[in-house]
Amino acid sequence: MSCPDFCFPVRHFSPAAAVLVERWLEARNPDVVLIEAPADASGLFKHLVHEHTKPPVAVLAFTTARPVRSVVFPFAVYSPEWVAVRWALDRKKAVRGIDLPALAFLEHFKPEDAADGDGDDDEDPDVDDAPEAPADPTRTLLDDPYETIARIAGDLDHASWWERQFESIDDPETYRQAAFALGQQLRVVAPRDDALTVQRERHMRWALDEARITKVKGRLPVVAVVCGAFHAPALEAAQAMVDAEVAALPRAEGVLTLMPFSYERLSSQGGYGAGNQAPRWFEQRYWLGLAGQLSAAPARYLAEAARQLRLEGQMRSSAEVIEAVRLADGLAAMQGGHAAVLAELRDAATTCLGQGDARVVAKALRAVEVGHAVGTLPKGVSRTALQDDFAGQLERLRLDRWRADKEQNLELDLREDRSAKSAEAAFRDRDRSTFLHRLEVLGIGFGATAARDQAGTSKELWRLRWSPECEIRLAEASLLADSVEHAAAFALAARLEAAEDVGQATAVLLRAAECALADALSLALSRVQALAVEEAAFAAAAAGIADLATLLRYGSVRAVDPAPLRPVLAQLHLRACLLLHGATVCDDDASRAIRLAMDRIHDATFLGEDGVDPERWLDAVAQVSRSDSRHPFLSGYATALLIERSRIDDEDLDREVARRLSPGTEADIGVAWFEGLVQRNRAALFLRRALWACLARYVEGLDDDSFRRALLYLRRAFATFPPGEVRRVVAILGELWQGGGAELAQAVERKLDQAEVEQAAADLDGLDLL
Amino acid sequence: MARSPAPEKSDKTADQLRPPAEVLFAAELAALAKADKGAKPEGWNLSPRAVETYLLGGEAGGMKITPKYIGNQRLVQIAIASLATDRALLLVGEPGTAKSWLSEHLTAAICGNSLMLVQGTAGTTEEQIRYSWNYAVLLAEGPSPKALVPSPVYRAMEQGSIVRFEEVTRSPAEVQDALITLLSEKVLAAPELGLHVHARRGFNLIGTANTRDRGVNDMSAALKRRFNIVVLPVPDDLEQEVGIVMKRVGEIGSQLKLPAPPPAEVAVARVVQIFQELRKGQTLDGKQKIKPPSGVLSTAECISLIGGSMALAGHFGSGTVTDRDIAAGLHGAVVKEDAKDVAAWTEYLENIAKKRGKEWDPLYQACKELLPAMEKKDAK
Repeated sequence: MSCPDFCFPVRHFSPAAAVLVERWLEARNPDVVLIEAPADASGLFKHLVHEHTKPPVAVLAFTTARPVRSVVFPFAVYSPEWVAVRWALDRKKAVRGIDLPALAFLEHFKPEDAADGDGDDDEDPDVDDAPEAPADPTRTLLDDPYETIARIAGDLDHASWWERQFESIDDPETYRQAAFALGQQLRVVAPRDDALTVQRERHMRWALDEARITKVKGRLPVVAVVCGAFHAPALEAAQAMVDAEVAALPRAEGVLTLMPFSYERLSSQGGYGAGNQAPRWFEQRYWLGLAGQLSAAPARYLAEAARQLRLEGQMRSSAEVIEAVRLADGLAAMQGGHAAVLAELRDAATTCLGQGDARVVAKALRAVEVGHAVGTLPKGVSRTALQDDFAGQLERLRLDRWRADKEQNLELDLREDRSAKSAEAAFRDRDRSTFLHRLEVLGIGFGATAARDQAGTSKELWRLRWSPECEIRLAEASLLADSVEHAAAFALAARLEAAEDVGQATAVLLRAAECALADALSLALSRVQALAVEEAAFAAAAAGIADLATLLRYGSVRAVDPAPLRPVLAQLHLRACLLLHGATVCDDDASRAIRLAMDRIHDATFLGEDGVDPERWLDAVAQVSRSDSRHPFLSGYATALLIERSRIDDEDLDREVARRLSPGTEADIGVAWFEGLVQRNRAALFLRRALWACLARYVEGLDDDSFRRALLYLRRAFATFPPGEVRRVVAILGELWQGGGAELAQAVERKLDQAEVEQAAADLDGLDLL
Repeated sequence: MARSPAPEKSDKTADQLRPPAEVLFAAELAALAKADKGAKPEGWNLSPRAVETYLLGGEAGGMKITPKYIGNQRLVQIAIASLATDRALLLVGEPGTAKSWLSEHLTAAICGNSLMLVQGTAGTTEEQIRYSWNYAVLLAEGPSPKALVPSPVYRAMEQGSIVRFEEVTRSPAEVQDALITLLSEKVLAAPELGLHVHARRGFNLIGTANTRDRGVNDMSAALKRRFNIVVLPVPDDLEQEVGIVMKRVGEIGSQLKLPAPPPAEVAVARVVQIFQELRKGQTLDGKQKIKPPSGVLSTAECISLIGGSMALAGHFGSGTVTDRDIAAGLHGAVVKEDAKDVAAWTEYLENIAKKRGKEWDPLYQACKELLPAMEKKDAK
């Protein structure tokens, strides 16, 4: 059976098909064009080929119920379907999708047990999941039949086989018949009778029949169908659905919209589809094909690769490009082909431009084959309001340049730019930061803050990368609200709802300030207040205090009103002071976290905020310092805090040190205390000779067994010391032990050889210092 | 260096220690030529496709063609296509990755004579790629064509055949430089005689270079540019390497008339596995790291190791290859230079081989016996 007149079987993303389908349509001049695309996407077609739309773009369908599931149908400029739509709309002909509605696809791909549809889904939508399958109807086919065909033909792989056999065809009729014959063969060797395929083909048949019997301008229309080669033979063989079946198709609750797509994403899809392994290159092939210059393709590819290498700073001469083209032709000739295919061009580039090393050319070839192209959609074109808002803000904030599918840095200075001409320009960086923070709250994945060198700066460093996933997440977030601002406010409100302790609530507070969301800020503040009253966890209170202090210190750059924050900080601080004593009874693991919390509160205490009483804090700390029943590490640390604020006089300190390090004190208690003591302001400690004398005496007094245990703590205590400080300790102890500082220092600094290390390890008898 | 211009196809070949490829596989080449229907580049005996079949194995006119090179088919195709576009070919790789082997067989298949050969050494002079003089004739008669002694390159140009240049990077820079104009102009001048030798169609050059020699006499960019470079990989697939070793060991055994049959495939696989693991620095399953020894553990070495153990077993042993015979070779292959290699080998034996259970035990024991006494103590 040969291919029926009304049908043009294609492979999706086939540049040759894209060139030829237009010629074929021109000749056939149909009244109605039907393409293999979701039937319910037909209304979006006019936007798809809008003069300001730049492919790659995709139809995106997503469910309005949570968890959000989505499915995308991408189109490139060299998609035969896209060309067919453009041809039809340019000539004011009807054009429709005949595949199952996208919402029916969504329903079909619903996860089996909804209970397992975990909450992760709405946070982190992943287009890699099943949804993309329908964009490539033949993709679910086992790869084997293709590989088998390629092997029988003696070609490298199926991509090369396809390219060699089909992509050089220059006659629509030849292409139609060849693709149709391939479809027929595939249906024999790899038949698919799963429910979805059967349903789709019956739906296509129904849509085709509908189109045939609906009169256009008073007569039966000439129909043209552009569909995947696999389905072409079924168009007339399948049993059509009846209208009632079509109406009764299970569909998900959902919305269809358009979104920009990227070549980067298209190339990572893999599987079936001629051009999507190298979208940028196949687009070039499409333009060359349109211009009738396909024979120049190898030269073009290799010249572009050489140019990329030169941009990378590697000199490549034209002579090398010429040799590469000759080699590619030679390789193609060995396969009995006329034109080199992509695999051969790669090999030629590797051999002649990379001197046999694929790694040398890999980056350049990727730039030639994939590129960073990102599609665009004109303003107001069918998108969700949130997507529009996103695009509008990007433009307003001049962030368009960062809408690319590669990672780029952006540094923002949040202060007012006093030399700027307009108010908008003066605060542009701050507005940008607000916008990016809002996107971060929404989990769009467009930007992430990079680590800053220092905390107290008004600079922010962002890493930005746009990808189609961002657009999908935006579409999903559009369920929350119609603008980025409101959606972020909703998201923060939800987080606040889930906050269980003060620390979590103040984290939301901080985010609200970064997002410049005043309502969310006051909402968060009252929540913080409510939680602060009952907060029983010291660490959470400390986190809250730190967040509030940060906001008070740096909030002015974001125009945050500090007044309502102060009473809450005072309240939390009081709470923390009361909790400290109880919290310092804990095990070794918890003691580290408590020390960190003490650190945070201590720093916040001396910012000079009203209502924060340093005396109360220091009293609480002094209690911990004196007590023998607290964790010794924390008692030691409390003592260090007191030294820093000169709250303990020398005599008291010496007595305390002597008491804590008196012979007979358990090694782990004595040394743990010492470890806590040296966590802070060591410079002051170095001046206190008496302290070190105590330590020296204490260590001397330990018996062998206790010494071994003490060693563990001592090692940990000194492990954090920088080399300069270690030298000072060595010098001090050297004097105390009459060894002479210099000699001891030499002994310490000398590198041990293997034997000595082993000897030392043997002496320690398997004690694991790590 | 100056070898006989054409292989002697007399009965004597039976006595030759190692007959050239075109003699060994004369029957296959003849079958291929007979069945060959593809277009032949000028000066070639076979079409590129037939050359590929000769190298990778297949079938021609009812005759089975044995594979000569087991490995990446694509690389062989690139090599053949390079030669077909009259570009010089440079085969690059670690020692023992079948560079010379491939170049010999390519030459045998394409022009039926693999003996035009220049061996690159530190002592290679320019005369060896141009021409030299028979001084007795030169003194007696003055410069004349009779007094001129052509080099293999000279002869290959005259005949339109392929000349091989082994270890290009071991020859001094001035010798390499002499190749540059030769390869682009394809003409060789003998100014003393006012003579120009223009290369006939079919002339080409296959060079080999060792990646371990990088930096010894590194090739200039100008010379590199005149070559299509194909990097031959070390096989990293166990099955593939075992296949290569088994095949070559069988061939060597019959050629050298070794008194013992090749060991069982399991034993060979074990040796290849040891080689691959030491080469990669980790076990095949990727679970354990291994300290690699300093030397290259090439496939060629593995082949000669097995061959050596066959000779050992045949002459001094029981007639069948035992683990003891293999262990002797293994020790020598792994421990090449210094004490570090001994340490690496000891570590491998104790940490990996010992724990592999019963089947590995005889080999482990045999290897352990060969370790110097001191290392044995250390290992414990």
